[in-house]
Amino acid sequence: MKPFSPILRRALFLSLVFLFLVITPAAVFYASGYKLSNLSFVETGGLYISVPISGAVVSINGQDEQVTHLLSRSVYIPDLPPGKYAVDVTAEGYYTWHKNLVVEPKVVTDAGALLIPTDFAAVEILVGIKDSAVASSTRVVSRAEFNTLLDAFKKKPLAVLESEVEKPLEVENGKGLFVENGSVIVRWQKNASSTPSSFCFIPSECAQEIVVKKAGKDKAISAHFFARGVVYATERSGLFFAEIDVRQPQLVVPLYQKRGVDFRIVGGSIIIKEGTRLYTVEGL
Amino acid sequence: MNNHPYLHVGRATELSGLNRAVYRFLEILPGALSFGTLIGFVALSIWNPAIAAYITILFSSYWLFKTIFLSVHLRYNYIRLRRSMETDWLLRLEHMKYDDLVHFVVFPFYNEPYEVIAESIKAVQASRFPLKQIAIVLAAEEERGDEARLLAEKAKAEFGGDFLDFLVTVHPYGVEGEIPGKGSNISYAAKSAKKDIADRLGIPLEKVIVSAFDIDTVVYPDYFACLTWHFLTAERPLRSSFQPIPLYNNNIWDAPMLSRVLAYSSTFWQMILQERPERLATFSSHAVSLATLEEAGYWQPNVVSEDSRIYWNLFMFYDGDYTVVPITYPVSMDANAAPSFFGTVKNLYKQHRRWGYGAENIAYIVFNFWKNSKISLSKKIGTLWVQVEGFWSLATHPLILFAFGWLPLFIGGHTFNTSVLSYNLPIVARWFLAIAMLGLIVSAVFCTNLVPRRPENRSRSRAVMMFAQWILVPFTMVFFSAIPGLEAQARLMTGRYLGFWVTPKLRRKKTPETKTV
Repeated sequence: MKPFSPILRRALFLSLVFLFLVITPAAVFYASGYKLSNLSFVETGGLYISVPISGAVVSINGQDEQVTHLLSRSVYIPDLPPGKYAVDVTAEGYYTWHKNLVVEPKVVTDAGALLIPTDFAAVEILVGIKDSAVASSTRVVSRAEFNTLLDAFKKKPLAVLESEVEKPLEVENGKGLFVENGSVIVRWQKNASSTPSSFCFIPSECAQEIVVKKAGKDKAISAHFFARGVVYATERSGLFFAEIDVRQPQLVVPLYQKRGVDFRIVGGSIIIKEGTRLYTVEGL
Repeated sequence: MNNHPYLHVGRATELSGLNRAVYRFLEILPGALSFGTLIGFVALSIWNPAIAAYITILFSSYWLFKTIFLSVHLRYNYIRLRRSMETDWLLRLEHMKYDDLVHFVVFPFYNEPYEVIAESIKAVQASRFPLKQIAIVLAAEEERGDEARLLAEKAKAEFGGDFLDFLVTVHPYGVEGEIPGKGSNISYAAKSAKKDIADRLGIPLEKVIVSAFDIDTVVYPDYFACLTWHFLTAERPLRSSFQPIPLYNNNIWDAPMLSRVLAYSSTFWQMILQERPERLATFSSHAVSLATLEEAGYWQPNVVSEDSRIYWNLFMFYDGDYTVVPITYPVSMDANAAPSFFGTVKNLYKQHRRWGYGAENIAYIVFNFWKNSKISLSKKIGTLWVQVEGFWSLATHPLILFAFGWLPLFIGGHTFNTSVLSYNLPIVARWFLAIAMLGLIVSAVFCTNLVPRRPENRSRSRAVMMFAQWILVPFTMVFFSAIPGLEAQARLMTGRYLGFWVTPKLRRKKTPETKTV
C-alpha cells in the first residue's frame, strides 16, 4: 500500500485551513456576544443568576429557562437582546425571588437570588435540660448558654457615633454597613472599578451605596450583615431582613414585628431580646 | 568531514569566540520562545484579557483542526501498518538480488539483565531473513566492568553460531569529549564492526545496513526482509535512513496505565510522521547504511539525542540531500515501568525530558545552516519551521489549552469578568476541545488492535482499562510532554546540560506475537 498521497494530503490540509478560517471567526464572534439575526449581526448580552439551592426554577419574562441542580446551581442565559427582563427564581418552601434586570450589549448582568424559606419562625429560648420534651416553638438551652446570650446584650447595639460617621459598623466582602440618621446604608469600600453588580442599576451605571432602609417615620436603630443580606431593627416595627441590591424590587421580609425589640448576632444566629425574654429565628 | 568542521559539535562550550557566542544564543532560543510565550500569555491575561481570551479560542480551534489532520494521517498509517505486517516481505524480495546484503544489528547495553539481552537476540534469531546475512554487535560499557563483558560473552556463546558473526565490543570509559551513553557506545561498536567484520570479511560498506537498536528492541519476523526491500527500492539508499515504527509491546500488559498511554502516544506520533516523511527524523531504533556512517562519522558521542542527531549530521554532511524512508513496519520495545508507581512516574518524566531535550538540535541545525551555503534557503526555512514549531508547540500548547488559556477568567479583572466573552470563553473552547478529544476514542480503538493478546494471567478488567486509559491524555500532555519539555529547554537556556539517562528495563515477557488480522 502506497504512502498517503501528497496531493490528497495537500487537499486535506487546504480543506481544514478553509474550515478553520470560516469557523474560528464565527466562534470568536459568538463568544463576543454577536448573534446572527435577520442577516445582520446583533450584539447580545446575558444574564447570570446564582442560586443557593438545587431544584429551583429560573424564569425570564414568565418563561421557565432552567432548573438548578446539584452540580450547577448557577444559570447562565446567553444571547439575550439588550433590554429589561423580569427574572423569577422559585423553589418549593421558599419565597419567590423577583428582580427586574437590564441586559446591555456584550455584558453579562449577574445577580444572586436570595431565597428565604417560608417556614422560618422566631422561637423562644428557654433554660432547661436539653432534649427534654418541650413545644417545638421553643428552644431549650442551659443556664450557662442563656447567660452567654444575655451577655451579648450588655454591649451597646451597633450604631454609628456622630464623630465616626465615615466608619462602618461592619465590613464584609468589601461592603461597609452604616446606620445614619435612621437609614441603613451599605457602601462599597473598595475601588470603584470593582463595584459588584448589586450596586449597579444597569451594568453601565453603578452607585457606591445602597440604601437598604430609608429613614422615615420609623427609624433604624441597629443593623448587622447576615446571610448575604442585612438584618436591622427599627424603633417601632421590629426586626427585618433585607436584600442588599439596588435593583428593584428589593426583597424585605419582616422577622419579628414587635416594637422596641433589640437583637444581636451570636454564633451565626439572630437572637432577639424582648423584655426579659430571648428569641431566636430558626429556619432562615 | 573537513568540509564540515562543525558537523559533530555538541554544545556551545566546544566552540570559541563568535561561534561559541552564536551557538550559545541558539541554545537559549527554544526556551526563550517557549517561556516567552507562556509569560506573554500571563501578561496579556492581565493587560488585555479579551485578546488573551480570543487567543485561547483560536488555539482551541487550531487544536481541533490539527487533531483532525493528524488523525487522518494516523488512520491511514494504521491501515498501512496492518497490511505491512500481513505482507510476506521475503516473498517480495524473491526476484531481487539481496544475497550480497548484510545486516549489522547493534545492541548497546549498560546494566540490563541477561534475560533482556537474550530476548532481543532471540527475536533476531527468529527472523525469516537468512541469519547468515545478519551479524550481531553486542556493545558493552567498560564502566560496568567484567560483569557486562561476561554477559555479552554468554550471549555470544549461546547465540553466536547462528549468525554471520557475533561481535562483542567494550566501549572504553572516560574518553575525553564523550558523554557516556548510547551515542558514544554504538558509535564505537559500529566502527569496531566495520573493522572486525566488514573489512575482515571483505564486505563492501555500501552492502551493509546497520540497525541501531536499544537492548530491549525486539524485531518482528519480517523486519530485516522489509528493511532490505526498502533499501533496495529506495531512490537513493546511501542518502537515506530507514525508520521503523516503535511499538512498546514487550511489557505492555505489565506496565502501568500511565506508561501505556505515553508509550502509545509516542507510537501514534511516529505513525503520523511515517505519512509526513518530510518531517521525519530518525528516532530511537533506526537503520542506516554503513557506507554513509563511515563517510559522515558515525553517531555523535557528545550529545544526548544521538538518534535524531545522526539524521541531522547526515543532512548537513550531504548539504540537505538526505532523507528518512519510513518503512511502516514495527519493532517492539519496553514501555517504561518501574517496581513502584512513583518510580514509574519518575522514569517517565526523565524519559520525556530526554526526548524534549531534542530541542538541542535546533541550535545545531541553525548553526550549521549558517555555516553551509549549499543548502537552499527554502529548505533551510522549511526545515527550521518544522523543528522550531515542533518543540515550541510540544512545550507550550498543552499548557495553553489546559491551564494558561483560562487565566483571563482568574486574573482578567472585574471588567473582563462581567463581559459576555468571559462567560462564553469556557463554553466555546470546551466545544472545540471536547470534539478534539473524541479523537481519543479513535486512538483507543487503534491501541486495542496493536497490543498483543491479553495473557491469561491478566484480567479482563485490564483489557477494559486499555481502552479507558485514554482519558488520561490531557493530563499526560501537560505533565509528561509540556513540563519536561520546558525543563529540557530551560536546561539548555541556562547551560545546565543534560547527560544521558539509561531507561531502566523491567519486564518478564517473551517475544511479541505478530498480531494477525
